[in-house]
Amino acid sequence: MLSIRNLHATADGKSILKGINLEVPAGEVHAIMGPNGSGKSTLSHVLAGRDGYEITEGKVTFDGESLLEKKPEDRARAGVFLAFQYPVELPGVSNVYFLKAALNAVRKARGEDPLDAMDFMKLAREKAKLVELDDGLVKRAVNAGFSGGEKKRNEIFQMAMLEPKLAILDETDSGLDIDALATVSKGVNALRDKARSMLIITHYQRLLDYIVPDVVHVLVNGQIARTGDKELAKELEAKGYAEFTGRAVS
Amino acid sequence: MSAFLDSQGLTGHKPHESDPEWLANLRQQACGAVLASGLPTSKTEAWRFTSLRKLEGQSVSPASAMSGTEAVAWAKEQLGDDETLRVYLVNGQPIGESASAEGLDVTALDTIFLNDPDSLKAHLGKLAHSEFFAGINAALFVDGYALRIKSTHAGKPVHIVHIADATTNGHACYPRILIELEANAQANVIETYLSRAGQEDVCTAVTEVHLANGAKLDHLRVMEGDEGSTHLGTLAVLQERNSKYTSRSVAVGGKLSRLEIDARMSGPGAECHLDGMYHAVGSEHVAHHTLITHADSHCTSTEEYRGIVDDRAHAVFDGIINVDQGTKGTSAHQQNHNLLLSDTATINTKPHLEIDSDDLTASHGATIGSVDPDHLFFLRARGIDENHARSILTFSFVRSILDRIECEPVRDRLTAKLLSRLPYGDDIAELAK
Amino acid sequence: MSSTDQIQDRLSQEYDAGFVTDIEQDFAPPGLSEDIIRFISAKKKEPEWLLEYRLKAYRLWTEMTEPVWPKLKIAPVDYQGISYYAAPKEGPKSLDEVDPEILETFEKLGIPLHERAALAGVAVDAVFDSVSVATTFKGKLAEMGVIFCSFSEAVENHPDLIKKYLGSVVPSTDNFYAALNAAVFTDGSFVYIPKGVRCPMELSTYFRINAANTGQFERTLIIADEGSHVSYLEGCTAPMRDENQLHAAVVELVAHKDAEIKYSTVQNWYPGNKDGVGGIYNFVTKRGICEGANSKISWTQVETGSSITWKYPSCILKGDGSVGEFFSVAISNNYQQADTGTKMIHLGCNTKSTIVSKGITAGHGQQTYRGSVRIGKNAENARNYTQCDSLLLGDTCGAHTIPYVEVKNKSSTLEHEATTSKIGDDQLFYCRQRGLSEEDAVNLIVNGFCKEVLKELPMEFAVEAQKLLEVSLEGAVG
Repeated sequence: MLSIRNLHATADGKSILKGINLEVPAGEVHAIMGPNGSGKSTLSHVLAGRDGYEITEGKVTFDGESLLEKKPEDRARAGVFLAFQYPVELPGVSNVYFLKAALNAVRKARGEDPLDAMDFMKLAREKAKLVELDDGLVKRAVNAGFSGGEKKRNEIFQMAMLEPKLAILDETDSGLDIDALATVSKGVNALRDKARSMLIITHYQRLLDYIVPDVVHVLVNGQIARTGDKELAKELEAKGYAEFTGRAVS
Repeated sequence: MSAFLDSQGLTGHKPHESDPEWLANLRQQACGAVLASGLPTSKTEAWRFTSLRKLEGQSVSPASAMSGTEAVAWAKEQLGDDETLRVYLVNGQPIGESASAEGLDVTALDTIFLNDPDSLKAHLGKLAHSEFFAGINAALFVDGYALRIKSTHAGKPVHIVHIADATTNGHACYPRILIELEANAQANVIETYLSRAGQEDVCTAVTEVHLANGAKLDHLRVMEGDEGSTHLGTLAVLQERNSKYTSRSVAVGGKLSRLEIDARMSGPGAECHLDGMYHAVGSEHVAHHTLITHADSHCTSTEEYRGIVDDRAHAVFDGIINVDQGTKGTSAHQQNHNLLLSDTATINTKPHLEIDSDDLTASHGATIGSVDPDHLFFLRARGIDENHARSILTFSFVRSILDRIECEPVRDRLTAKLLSRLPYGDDIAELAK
Repeated sequence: MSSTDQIQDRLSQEYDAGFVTDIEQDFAPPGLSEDIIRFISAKKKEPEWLLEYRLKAYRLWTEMTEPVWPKLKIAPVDYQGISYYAAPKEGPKSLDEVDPEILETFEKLGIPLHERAALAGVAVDAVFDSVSVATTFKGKLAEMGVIFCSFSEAVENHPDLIKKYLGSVVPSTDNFYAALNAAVFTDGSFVYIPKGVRCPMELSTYFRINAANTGQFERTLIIADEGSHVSYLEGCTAPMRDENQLHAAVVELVAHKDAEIKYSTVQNWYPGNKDGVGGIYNFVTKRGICEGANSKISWTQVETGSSITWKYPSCILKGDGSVGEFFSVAISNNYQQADTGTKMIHLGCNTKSTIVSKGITAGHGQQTYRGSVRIGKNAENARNYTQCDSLLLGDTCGAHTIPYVEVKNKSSTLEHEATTSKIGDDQLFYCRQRGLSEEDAVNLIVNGFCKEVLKELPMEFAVEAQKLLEVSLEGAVG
């Protein structure tokens, strides 16, 4: 599904990703863990096509097609979904309107007919239940005045609506209390599917208690320092990143 | 020609003998400009809220510093010991000794004109515009101080105390101050403008400030006049790369107190912070006009002025923020908050943004209102009588500005001064501690 | 391609009301003089007192100069080069006699004038160049005592009302353009809502400048008597021409005790081409007085057109408890300039005003919000809230915010907030990550930015306004 080969990226002339190699087959959930500044968020931004990064080397293919030349919206339409670490507020733009526009743009790219208002609302109500997002929030402006937990639940709600092939969850656990974490994780788990891959980016192992990954990668100083199974996450929790920081630099 | 301009000798004005040529030219130009324009009227945008009708007919003649030592003794008594390095001017002329410390040189302008006049050429008269009152000062100032601060300077704040001391033979004075900070220098400078005699006096003051790369100045300017004093101040600041300028203006008394600030950030990464506190009672008129120009990228400015207006007083805030075309990464935020305590008082506020670049965040906010009845009720419900509750809320409306004054003895004195002007203020002095 | 380029790319949509209608017209020769004014007055068969009113205004005007304080660069206007009167040759007697060409013009603009085809619930007065060509639903309105007719008809049929109110809110002495209008105004709309009547439908005037080398100088007067209510809409378009054309209108509103007037404008005069050639000079004086207690005047405007806009719809809040509102969206793209805002003058007790202004500037557009809020010393408990936000799209445009505030009453409260920023890169990226194209993302964000104002518009206009915003921004974003 997603294949990253020797990916190098810089921001403001500073080298951040220094040769990432990663294969995420369909249906698998991969976790990427790493200390602050290791390049985790950069990786998610580069995959989604955010401005401000220069790809100096390497390539990324998604579903067999090269991803890096595509515009952000075309990546989204092809099925790449990024759940933002800091979801953006859009004052005056209602969640419903926003999502309907997004969903119909994605459906059009898939060759599907647009949903009419009634079908859309039916679908929205159903998916909102998944993350216990109440009707009020669904109708309010996108993320405006939402609490941290509400914003994250809204991200997973949008993911449920757009049904991506690849979901990248960027520090989705940050700023969540234990109850909200459980709700969000429940939503994510419900979306696990053999046709859908997930890349879960996190600093802490905590999230991985809820969303159990198939594979865990440790990202340190812009490179994958080690790959293992879910036990690796527990090991990191116990020992910290100290041993890797040494190894990756060498 | 108004009596006001006429009586000060602008017509047929001759430069001073000690003036170097560049200064003589400057004075001549300023004089010409003022005579051509006359005094501003209510049609002049920057003066539409401040009437000069009374001033226009007033005859004023330049005052001498004859009673200098007496005035200085009086000022010392007023100010107490505030742990600053002080210099004094009376009616625009330095009295007593100059000051110096490591990395700091404070010298009378007249002395520099005699010894090394060209060392003033770069900035004296170049930073401030020469319209109206700044022009009158440029044409007529006799003396003043130059502060030169090096990066090696560290130590007590410098306190420039000006006393307007009208006598029977003169009412007008023209203090002139130049402050230059070399690259990476840091300093704390206080200017206090006092009025002594309780008679009519007109103080036309200009301060010019230049901050070289990375320099940092904390600048407090106090207008503390009496029922007869008119203060027309101009403060011009030019900032180079990564410099940081902080101005605090405190206005606590004076028939007419007006300060115009023109701060220009001409290098990237500069920071400019303008704060002010004003309290106007009786028939006092207090006006702050600020202009901040973001002429380069990645500059930051903040402004916060808070004022209390009572009786028949009139307060004006007119703040312009210019963001020049082509600048990037600008942050500019301005606030003006007013407490209006009487139906015969007037407040004019005009927060004004001029934006010619899109890479920025800019905002301004202004409020005018009275003491919040909910707050008043809360205090009364806790057993505080209404008069004291009002006084507490009035004081707390502006105290955040006073609290930012770094030099503690100066802060305490100004806080006490404000409290003494508030009804029941002395009773709530504990609050200020 | 950077987002700036993409946005620039889509800023080249055409003005679609720019066609010209080919009909025979009556013109006054170009130029302005007492004779021309007599000519206009005679053409309109006006009573002597109105001619005198015009001549007095004209003499005043000759002594006045154009205001220089707006932040506008205006090429000098040759007032002697303009024709002050243009009207279709065949004056209609009734709706059925309106020239088919004109009917077709309004049809094309989406304003059908046949009552059977007209928008349900909206009565229209159509003004074509200098004259009103048709007013729909007159009969139905008359049953309730509502007068809705062209200004000329009102002069003929309701002279007492005109005499009483003409110039009572905007005197000829008010400013240069108001004086000019008082001297040469040709037509416009008149509305009178009797006591206690809630006008059963939206009243609307549609202004169309067609003839070349003319100005349009219409006058609108709306009187809402005690306890009445009216919602009035105005729309405007003009053909694309290379010369600047002058539009100098005056609108006066009077709201008596407990009355309410809601005045909405969607202004889409030709804005000139992308290089700033041509377009309408829109110099308009609009003012309402809340004469009686608890009356209300609400201005809503969507300003997308004109090459230059100079207008400040204002409220004089004289009656105790009266309310003034101003909601505005203004877009300046290409070389458009706008100096617009409002005045709220609080005279009565418990008066309340709200100002929400949203400015969007793109290309080489220049926009100034200029507002004035005055709270007099007798205005006990007056309240004002002002919010004005500017959105900049591109680094060659300018946004300026100049509010004047004066308060003289201690029990009053005033709050003013303003922000200026560009569309956040974060916001754009977020939308695109969800699959929206950059254009759609920009439209979405701009619409969200304007929402507070757009929701004030009557339904029929809200949709049109939203579309206009999108068109006006084509190619603008950066």
